[in-house]
Amino acid sequence: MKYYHGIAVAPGVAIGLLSVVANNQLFIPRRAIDANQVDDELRRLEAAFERAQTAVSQCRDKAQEELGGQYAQIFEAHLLFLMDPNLRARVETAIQDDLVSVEFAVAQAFDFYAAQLRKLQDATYAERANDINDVKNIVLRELLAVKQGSVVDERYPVIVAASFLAPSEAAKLEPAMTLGIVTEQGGRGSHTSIVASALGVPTVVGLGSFLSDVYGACLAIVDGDRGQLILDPTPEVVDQYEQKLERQHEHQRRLEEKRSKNYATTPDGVKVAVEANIEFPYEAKTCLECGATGIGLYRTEFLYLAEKDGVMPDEEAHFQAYKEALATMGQDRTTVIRTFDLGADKTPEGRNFAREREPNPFMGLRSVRLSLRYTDMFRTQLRAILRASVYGKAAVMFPLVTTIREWRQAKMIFHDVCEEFNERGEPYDHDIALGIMVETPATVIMLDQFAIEVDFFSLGTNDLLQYAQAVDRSNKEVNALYAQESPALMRLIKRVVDVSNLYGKPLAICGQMASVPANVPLLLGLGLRALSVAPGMILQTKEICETFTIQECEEIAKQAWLMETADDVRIFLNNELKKKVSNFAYD
Amino acid sequence: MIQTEVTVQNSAGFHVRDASLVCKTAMKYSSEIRLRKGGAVADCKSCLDLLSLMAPQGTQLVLTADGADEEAATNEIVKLFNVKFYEDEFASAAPQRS
Repeated sequence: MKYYHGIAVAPGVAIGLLSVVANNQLFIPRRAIDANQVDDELRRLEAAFERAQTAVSQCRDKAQEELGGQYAQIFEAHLLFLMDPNLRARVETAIQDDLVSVEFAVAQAFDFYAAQLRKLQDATYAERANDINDVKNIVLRELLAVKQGSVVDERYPVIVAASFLAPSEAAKLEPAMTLGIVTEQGGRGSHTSIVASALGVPTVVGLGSFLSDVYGACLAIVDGDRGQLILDPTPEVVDQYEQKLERQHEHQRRLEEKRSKNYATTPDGVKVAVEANIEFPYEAKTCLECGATGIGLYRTEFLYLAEKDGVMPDEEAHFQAYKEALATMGQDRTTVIRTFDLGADKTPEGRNFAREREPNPFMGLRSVRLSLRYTDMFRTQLRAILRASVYGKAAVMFPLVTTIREWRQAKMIFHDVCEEFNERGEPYDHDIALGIMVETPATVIMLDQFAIEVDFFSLGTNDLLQYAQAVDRSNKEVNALYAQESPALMRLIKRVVDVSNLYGKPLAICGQMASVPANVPLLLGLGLRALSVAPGMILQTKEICETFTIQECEEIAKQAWLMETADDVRIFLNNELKKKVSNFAYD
Repeated sequence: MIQTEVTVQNSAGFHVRDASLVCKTAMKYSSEIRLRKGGAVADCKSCLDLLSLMAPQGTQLVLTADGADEEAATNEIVKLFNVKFYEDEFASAAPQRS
């Protein structure tokens, strides 16, 4: 038995047989050509690049389909390498002027750029040199007609071992046939690691030399939690890891169970809505799969920030996005669409939107204030929401409402747009609930007046904390004051809970605070019964809700209430969470 | 010719994703578009050139565009820098596994 230590990239444990990937570096000797061969070589170049583009596109499409858009972008960049005019010019010049073979010219040109990146003396950029190398090898394999089929060719699932795995090779692995991944080289930030962790199999990289110790079909254990590889483990160690594996499966099964229900139920039988915060309509699918109660916050800003050529998104663009989200979530799960929360740090620079730079944008013309200033833009968005409302169950929420007057103006414009629809006889959902984000101290203080008129509230703790503590979270000098566990924030939340209960108005929390597992018992203890969290946190949040009774949560809130600093609260909450759940996911 | 300054605002600095966004944008225009950092100049239509610029957060770069559509090209690329190459949306869209 032998232990190796590396960098843990993707968590989990795998026990199985190793399969070593044969992906030796291709060495290209300098080969001279005659002047009359130049045209032939250029034709080979063209053809090889074309085939390489096809190969990389396939890789991108597979990543897009199986891993998601942000992983496909890695290979999108690889495609751009292949289309790079300067790289191509380098290759062509070498063939024409230096009279070298196309293989040598290609290798030299890619190596030039890889060396540029390595020269930068920065770990992340040096890792990107591997991407360039990956693309180089793809072109060279096309030129040399080296077949590259599947990376591993086994009939049963194996642990994939390699000296180095290129991003394109990682993307070709089939998760069902891959128990784990271990490599001698590589770092945490490499694209290979990013792709491997997206596959969701235990992965450890940067293990140092171990392949020379591998013989035959060697039994191995990959511990992706501790960053360990164990070759040829003793039966006792295998036993120990099998138990750990069993615990992981048990945990996984429990999570699966939670997917099938759209509420969490505490051990003492109280229902808690676990909703999701999304930014893109396609995320709704993930939320549905995780059993989200609904979408508690659909941020619509991306539509404006992604706009082309300074033109604001038209009604149709809004409509298509909202329709997709609403249709995915359906009639039984409400999708709360927040009207554009632009300004402050999110300012589109379109022609219709030219504004002067504000000295203090977070205190400036932002969010609902912008909507009320640029009512055409606001109406466009509301029209799109109404049109899309027939496809699911929409609710509309206005951001940063600080006065009753703003709320009434926004509501009036909404009803005005409804009236247009009525006149035209156009269908829309007549029961769309209208609510506001509670994200300034002024709103909390005046909440009883809002409570008479709004249909629901949503606590935006990020801004609320920033305005309550008067701290800019992006300012390194002071951002220690920006702590989610701030006792002041806790007390503000408590008032919001009390007032909305008094008036019988639904309340959810959609701020960052709810996405931190340790805060969940506190929030339940303060009286919240709807938490809107990042899509990736839905299952974990449900799990925590189902671990603590409301009585326990109230006791936690009572103790936290008396604490003087955010640090005290954070340490206390982390300990309370650990007491209950240390045995599975959070060790 | 238009010349303007841009600042890398992404927390991780200017990287592959950002380079490919700039490159894809530049390829839509006929103008010659370049980014300069000190003495190093990168052709914006060359993704590999852009990558070699190494620009951590806070770096000032000089963007020049020269040609018929220089104004539109400048606007679009400046915007990419200003929205931090959609860094936030990118991060929040990444799947999180427990």
